[in-house]
Amino acid sequence: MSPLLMTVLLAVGLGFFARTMYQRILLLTSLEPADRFNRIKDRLKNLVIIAFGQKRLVGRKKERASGIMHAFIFWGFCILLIRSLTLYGHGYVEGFQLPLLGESSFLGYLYLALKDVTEAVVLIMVIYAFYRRLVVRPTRLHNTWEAYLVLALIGVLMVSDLLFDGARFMLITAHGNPADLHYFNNPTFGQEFFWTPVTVAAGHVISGFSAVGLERVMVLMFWVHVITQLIFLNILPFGKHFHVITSLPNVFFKSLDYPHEKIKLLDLEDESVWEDETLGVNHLHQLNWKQGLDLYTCTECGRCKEVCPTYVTDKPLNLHDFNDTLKAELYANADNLILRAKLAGNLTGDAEADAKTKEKMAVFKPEKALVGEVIALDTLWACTTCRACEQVCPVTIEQVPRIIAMRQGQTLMQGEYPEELNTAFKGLERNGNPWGIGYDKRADWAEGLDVKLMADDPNVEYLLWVGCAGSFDDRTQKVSKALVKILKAAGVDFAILGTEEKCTGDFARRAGNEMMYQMMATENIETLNNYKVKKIIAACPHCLNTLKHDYPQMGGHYEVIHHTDFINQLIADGKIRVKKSLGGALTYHDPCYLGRYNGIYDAPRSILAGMSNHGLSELPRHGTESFCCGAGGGRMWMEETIGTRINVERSREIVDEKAETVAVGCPFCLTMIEDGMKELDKDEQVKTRDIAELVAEHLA
Amino acid sequence: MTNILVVADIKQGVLKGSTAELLSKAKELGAATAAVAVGSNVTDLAPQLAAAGSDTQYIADDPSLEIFSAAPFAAAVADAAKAFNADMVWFGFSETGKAAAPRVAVQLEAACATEIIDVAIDGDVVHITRPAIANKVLQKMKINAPKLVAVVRAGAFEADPEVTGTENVVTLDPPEKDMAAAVKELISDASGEIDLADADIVVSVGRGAKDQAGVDLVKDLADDLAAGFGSSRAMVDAGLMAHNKQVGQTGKIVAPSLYVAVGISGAIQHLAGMNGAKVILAVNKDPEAPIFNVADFGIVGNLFDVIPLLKEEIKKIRA
Repeated sequence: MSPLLMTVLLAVGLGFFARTMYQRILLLTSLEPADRFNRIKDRLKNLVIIAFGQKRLVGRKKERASGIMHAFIFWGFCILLIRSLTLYGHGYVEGFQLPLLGESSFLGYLYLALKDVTEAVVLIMVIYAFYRRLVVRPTRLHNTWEAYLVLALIGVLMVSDLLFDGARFMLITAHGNPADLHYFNNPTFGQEFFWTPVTVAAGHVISGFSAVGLERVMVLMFWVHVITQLIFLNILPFGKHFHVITSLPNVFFKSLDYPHEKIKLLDLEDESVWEDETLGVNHLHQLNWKQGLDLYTCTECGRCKEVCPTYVTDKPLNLHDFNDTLKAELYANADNLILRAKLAGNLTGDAEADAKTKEKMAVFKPEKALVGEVIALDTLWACTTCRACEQVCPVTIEQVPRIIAMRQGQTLMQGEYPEELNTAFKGLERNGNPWGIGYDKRADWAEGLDVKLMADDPNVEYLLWVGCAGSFDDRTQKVSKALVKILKAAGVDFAILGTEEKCTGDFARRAGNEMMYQMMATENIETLNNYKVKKIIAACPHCLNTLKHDYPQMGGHYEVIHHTDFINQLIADGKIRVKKSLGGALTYHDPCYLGRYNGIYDAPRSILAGMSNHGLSELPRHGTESFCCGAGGGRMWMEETIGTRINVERSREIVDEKAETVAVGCPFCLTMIEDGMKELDKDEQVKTRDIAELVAEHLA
Repeated sequence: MTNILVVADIKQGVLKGSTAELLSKAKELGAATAAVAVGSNVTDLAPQLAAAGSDTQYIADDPSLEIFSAAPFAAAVADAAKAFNADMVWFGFSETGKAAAPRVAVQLEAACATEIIDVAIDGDVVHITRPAIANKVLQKMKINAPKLVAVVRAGAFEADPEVTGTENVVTLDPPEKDMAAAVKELISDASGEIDLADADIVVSVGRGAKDQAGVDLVKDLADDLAAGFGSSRAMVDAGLMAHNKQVGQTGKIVAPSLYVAVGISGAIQHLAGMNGAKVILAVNKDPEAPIFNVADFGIVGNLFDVIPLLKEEIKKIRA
């Protein structure tokens, strides 16, 4: 078309884009390191399934229509990327074709056809997207001008390319190809336009033009397309559509095995961490580059807030604003962060020389405190760490570890945390349980049940980890007793630690009190390793999660099984038999730390389905999208004063399902939901029961 | 002979019972006793202080002392201690005592011990006893310093009605103003209700009371007993009680002599806030309610039937 113009456009467009991207990447490299380059195979697998497969967009029933819309636009982009390269070449040489996609190859024709249909499909999707934003207006969406601009640009891209080809078609077929334009023509595969019905249709739309007019349309549409594309590319990094570029790497670099980045095991012995305030995230530069990439990638789709128990109950944590605020702060301080990182590279380890460097580094501190000013305290402490947000995020943003790291900064460095936590921390410190009940009473519940202590028989096959609630809470003790009944009926060789057991430290860790957590973990691991414990049955998903995923960081390696999983296996192995005698409508509430954290969804359902003569009916929010009871992440030990109560919201959902029994598998859920039922004055109609209790009652 | 100076615990112009308790103990130890009253319009309290067992009354009476401020308060106490040549200065357990005691100790170059529950004098040697490690053990300490400033735990000593003293008023110069900080205003809970943390008896209301009428009924009982009035979290959520009245894990932790739980089932979150009470009385219609596991006395019944009967019985006993 015009090599000169094409060169100028590409130089400006790609040059500016490269400059922006360089800045963005430089900013990421100024953040803390994160090890995300291992296990490439697994990462590629995630990339294929989650990113290219659009798993979380198409996979959610509730959002299927918009998911399909997005998927088609995404796949369309992938397909049309090749077309863009062809067009760039076209700018230099008329009739340019990429290798293998020329007219001599069947692939070339196939691609033409694919491109043709894709453009039509993307155009329809764009129209649907407009309709959705303007007419349907889902509440989770932020209707910004950027969204409309980008949709419009995509529309222009499709229309301009179709008209460009359409004009070519008309010139070639209706006007005898006066400009001697190139088109595919092969004795075997036929003529290009047999393969491109949409282009032909577009051509007919402009068939009224004269040959000269058509030529002008063709040239105009070509440049409109190329320029629009370069503009599009350049505005991406400045808004939420940056995800077009960053979501693929973000998915590639996502956490493996554990659903999000594990809480960092902080070295509390190192004195410099206290001086340099490097415990947790106190400052912007303490985010790691992957967390920065998460922020770049947030698409503000709002799925996170829609499923967030705190947002739904009117608390100030709005994850999409949270991300947006942090991203804005990151950009606003980009230069300082980069300069600071450069200086940090000069640190030698020599205290005297470093003191000067550190002084210089301090100049580049952001004006506002990260927590307190940028992110409000109430926002930070609202999170229940339920992971609903992460589970639905199409681009696998990890919200919870960032929140916990910020809490660490607050709790450890600033001493700023909800004061109610003090009681629980003190209880942990002195008596190894958050209520502060005498540690010597920990095994009282088992009196008269003939339960072995590890101290008496360290060679048992299983350790039953009872947990604080199961040990001290009158209500949850019934679950512990039921579990003992089941294990005895099955002839399982087990023991408990008795007064040697302590809180695992789960809530302390998630409330940012790493010191308290490590204290608990150290003592527990010492006890467990002394007894050479190998297999643990945990009656609490929070204990399970901590024992299984947190303790290995500190040298505690055990096979940890949740009691529902274990019971299910006992039934499958025929060690116990359960009667199908549970009457009344039955439903199941998935605990977050059992489901979303540990992927246990089927075992509880299989047990329940086997004993209910009414079958098991699912709650509207179940499985991976279960709704938190409100007690995770240390929230059990904090006051819930803002908005409505999460447990009541969940209990109402259960009541609305007309359930007569709601089964749970977690002592927190048990407490919260039973309490919610009392609040709704429905505790007589709807019984909240742990699965162990139900099984013990219906043993054959 | 040991000289013991007891700091008068005055709240809104009224001398609190703890002052007499401390003076009785001092006399029991065979010490020479004095009391110091610091505040505005406190001169009138001198006869009461004498009656409570002090033989000298140091009075620092000045309008500037009306609102408590730790530094001038401590300065006045230290002046009295020097004038009396006190070997020990005792504070009753109160926020003012906790704030002023360490300051007085510094000024007198004395040892400072808080939360003590017993004192023994053996010749020149003073021993104190105080709980440690969350009340799990009692710690007996020998005081090596020549002087001791101590904060005595509430209810540690008993007032002996037989004990009296003689009136011998010494007026102290008002202390210098604290240049570092001036307290401008004291904002207190205007309800005039008894502070839960201080109350010797606490009556708490739970979900069983259902509504405002139920709350009022239980509140009447609390008033009859001159008790602090608390509640479980459910009542706070229901908007029937203020948040600062919530007893429990995430609310106030109380340890009164008598805790009356009315219509409270006793979930562990609540128990964590009150299981330090000496005596627990529970009223609940559900005999299975976990509150009965910790209660010393339990009444199974509808609180709307039980509370009026209780009130009547209290009236009878009082009459």
